[in-house]
Amino acid sequence: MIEAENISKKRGNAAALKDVSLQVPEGTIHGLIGADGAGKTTLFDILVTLLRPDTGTASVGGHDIREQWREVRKTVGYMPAAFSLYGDLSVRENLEFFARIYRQPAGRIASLAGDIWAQIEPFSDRPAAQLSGGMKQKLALCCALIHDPEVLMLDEPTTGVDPVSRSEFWAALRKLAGKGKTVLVSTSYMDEAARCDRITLLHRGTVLDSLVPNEAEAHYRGTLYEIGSADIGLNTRMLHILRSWSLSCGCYSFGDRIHLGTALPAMRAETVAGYLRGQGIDTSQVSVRPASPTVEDLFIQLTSASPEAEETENSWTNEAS
Amino acid sequence: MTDRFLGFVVKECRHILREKRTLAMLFAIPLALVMLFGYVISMDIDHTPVAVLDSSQGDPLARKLVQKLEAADQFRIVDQVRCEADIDAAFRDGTVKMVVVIPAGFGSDARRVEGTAVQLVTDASDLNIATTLIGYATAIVRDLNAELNTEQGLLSADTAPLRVDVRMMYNPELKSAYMFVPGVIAMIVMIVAAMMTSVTLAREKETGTLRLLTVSPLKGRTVVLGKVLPYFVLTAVNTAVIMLLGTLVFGMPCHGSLWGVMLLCALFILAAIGLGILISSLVKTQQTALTASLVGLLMPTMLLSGFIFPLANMPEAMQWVCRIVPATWFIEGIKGLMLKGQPVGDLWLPLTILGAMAGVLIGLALWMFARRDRPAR
Amino acid sequence: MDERSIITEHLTRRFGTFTAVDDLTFDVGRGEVFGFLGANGAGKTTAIRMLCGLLRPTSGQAEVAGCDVARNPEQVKRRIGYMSQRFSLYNDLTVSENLQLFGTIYGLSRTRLRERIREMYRRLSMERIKDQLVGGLPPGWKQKIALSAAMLHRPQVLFLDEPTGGVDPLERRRFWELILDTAAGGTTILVTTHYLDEALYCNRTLIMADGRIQAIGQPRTLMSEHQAADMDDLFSRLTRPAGGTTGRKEAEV
Repeated sequence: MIEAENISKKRGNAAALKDVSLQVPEGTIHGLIGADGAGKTTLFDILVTLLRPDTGTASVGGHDIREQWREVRKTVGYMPAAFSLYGDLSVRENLEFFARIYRQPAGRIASLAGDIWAQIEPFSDRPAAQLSGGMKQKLALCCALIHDPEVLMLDEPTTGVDPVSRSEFWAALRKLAGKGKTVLVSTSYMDEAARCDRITLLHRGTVLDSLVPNEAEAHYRGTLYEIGSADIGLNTRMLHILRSWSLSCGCYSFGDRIHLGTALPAMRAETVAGYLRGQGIDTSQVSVRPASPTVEDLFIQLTSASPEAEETENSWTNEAS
Repeated sequence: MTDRFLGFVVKECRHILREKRTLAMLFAIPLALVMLFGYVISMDIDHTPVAVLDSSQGDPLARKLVQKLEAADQFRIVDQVRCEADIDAAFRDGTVKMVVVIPAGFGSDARRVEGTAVQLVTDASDLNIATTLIGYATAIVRDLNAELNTEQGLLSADTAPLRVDVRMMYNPELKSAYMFVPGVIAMIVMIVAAMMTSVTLAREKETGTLRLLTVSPLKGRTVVLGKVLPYFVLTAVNTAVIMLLGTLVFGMPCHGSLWGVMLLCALFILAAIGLGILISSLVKTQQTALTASLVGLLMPTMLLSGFIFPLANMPEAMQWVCRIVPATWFIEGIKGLMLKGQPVGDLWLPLTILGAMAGVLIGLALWMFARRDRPAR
Repeated sequence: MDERSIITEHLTRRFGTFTAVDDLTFDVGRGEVFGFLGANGAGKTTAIRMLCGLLRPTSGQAEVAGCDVARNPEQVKRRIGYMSQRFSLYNDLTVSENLQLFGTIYGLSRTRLRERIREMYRRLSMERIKDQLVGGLPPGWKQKIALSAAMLHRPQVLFLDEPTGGVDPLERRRFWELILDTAAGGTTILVTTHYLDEALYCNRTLIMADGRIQAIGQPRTLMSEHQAADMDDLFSRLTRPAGGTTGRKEAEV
């Protein structure tokens, strides 16, 4: 169980976190979604009691982070953002070291981490620095699990890890949550939001929104259309045309598709196609259909509303070389 | 505490043993020193030219002494020095390495209770040769003493009628190859104890392992002590190697108390480790830790400790600066104990100051790391 | 002139008994955006290092921007640009100092460099931040500047190694638009990424596993060929054969 209320923290003169609140019930995975510099690491620092918040309260596993920080630390299994193990020590030596400082038998890991340990065990004698990105993260998770913590706090555990290993890692987290662990995990991969029970969208230190991932559509304002053709050049032209449309509120490319948001709640797809035709686009090869907004669409909608975003908007895209 | 502490120490030892190159370098430095200073040492003193300045005018005892000197393989008696004034010129030309001065009334004085003295004048600019020559000559005088005693029906070990009076010329401070040994030890201690401790701790900061340790039940003070112990042992072994090399190869004497030397080394190593930990708590990366140790610790140890530039030649303000460099006190203490043979009690000042430095620095390091335990502001 | 910017034929690299890149044959047309996908250890990095002239192939051939990578690596290096998210810029230098440095490295004359940098500022509207230290800029800006630095010498081929890590979705899209824009200007782009949805920005994608090409072609076509629901699905089908864990890739390191 993690509860945080109105956490604020200044770093230097800039606010790293502004009024951040979240609640993570036992046995669930809560995703903290945001880019580098969104304040994810600062929030983790506060919740694992490395840092005191300026204002606000929080408790982890029922222990107050200000008063009972010793208890909080015993409750938490923590994985910092960067790979934080000893690269010159072998997999086994790293695990033994953490087992020892937590006064746990190292052999216990097999029952605690199950699959994940089974996957790295064959490389027990390899120096940790020589593991692949995915394996390093699995080892770090094992080290964080050695004292069987109630709460897991994982800061960007899948950054730089390839998609297959990422998927394995999430499967492992799901199992741990199934065993009743409370998991708070941060990521900059939007597609990982779907793996969480609940997510908090964090941007420049503030909470943009907090939701169940498949609720993104309900949180999205207006309607979303997916427009695309097989011709990349045509897509680029349409992107520029749609951006300057008065009904457009946010228009971005999603690979070979364009996502167009409009403020009108019930606009027909034909209206979009008609506008494109009016701008001289041959829409016979173009598909226009309403789409259900993803977390990513929601995130873009929420961030493009911020004043700084508008400042740089279109600064370079309209200048074809 | 103990189990976690041991766990940390084991980990630390693994780091040390895994860095094979660094480890090899630590023990290669003393060897490099042998090569560097090796050329200074010439043990070859067969038939070294020695002059006798005999003022006793044909005293039989004096003649006996000269005969004995002549008979020894090490010496070759040359006829270069006729009077006191010749000595200097003979040394400068290099035609003579030692002058044996026999005083007037040598034979008769030797039979009196007060006895008499043979003066051995040497060119101490080559201290190794000078001390070896004195050693041989003293042995010959001792033989003669024994003979005189038997002649008079006394036990050969009884009071010596002939004393040896040594006069070293050109090098009153008796600087020698082994005079570098204390300075070299100071450098090595700074590299191993201070620099390596600061760099390895900064690495834990940089890679984020220190964050994990802070969140774990491991206390800040255990981290500090877990660093101190392995690096103390490593540095102590290294110091011992250089000391042995100094005594065995360079013939460095240890006139004073061995326990005193050990105590002095231990305090100095602790002070150095304390400095290393303090540096690491002030920097963020290994790179800055390395630079800070080089500029802040190694340079002063080399330049401001009397190792290279004698303190006496420095302006007074500079001398005060030198006094806050731990190596200054260490070198002073080691010279006093090993070379001058001063009793430990005479060296209370360097010992106390180093002890205080070690205590304050390690204490400060413990305090700073214990403070890290609490959530930061 | 050949309209293909990258041509590889049976490109192979072995390390001892281990074959990191196995018989790679493909080509990339001028102005194409070409996605290079694969799990860690699939051989992507080794392949890119060969294409950049940093590593000699064990066998096979590769021609980049008209130069053979084995015979003429120096020429290759002059004609390509490289940008990686991990290392690109000096954080303790300002934007303009960074750009000047990279321009000088590529031997641009002073007047030409000044001209190109001015053009870059105008294109990215960076004029107002040119004297700021790179370290203090948000990740989105850093990436744009890194890309600019890699393009100052007008390379024919641009290698982008995971260029969009850690930026928010909005910035990622802007960055991709910049990439597409650059490609439209005739620069060939080879890009690796861990965001599989980004593969859809590419004209064609190559998926590697175990050092070999598993699939190559237009992303949409590949998806329908393999009956994959999305890129993630396609990727796991192609890179993880039934029941296989990540065993082989560990053997590589």
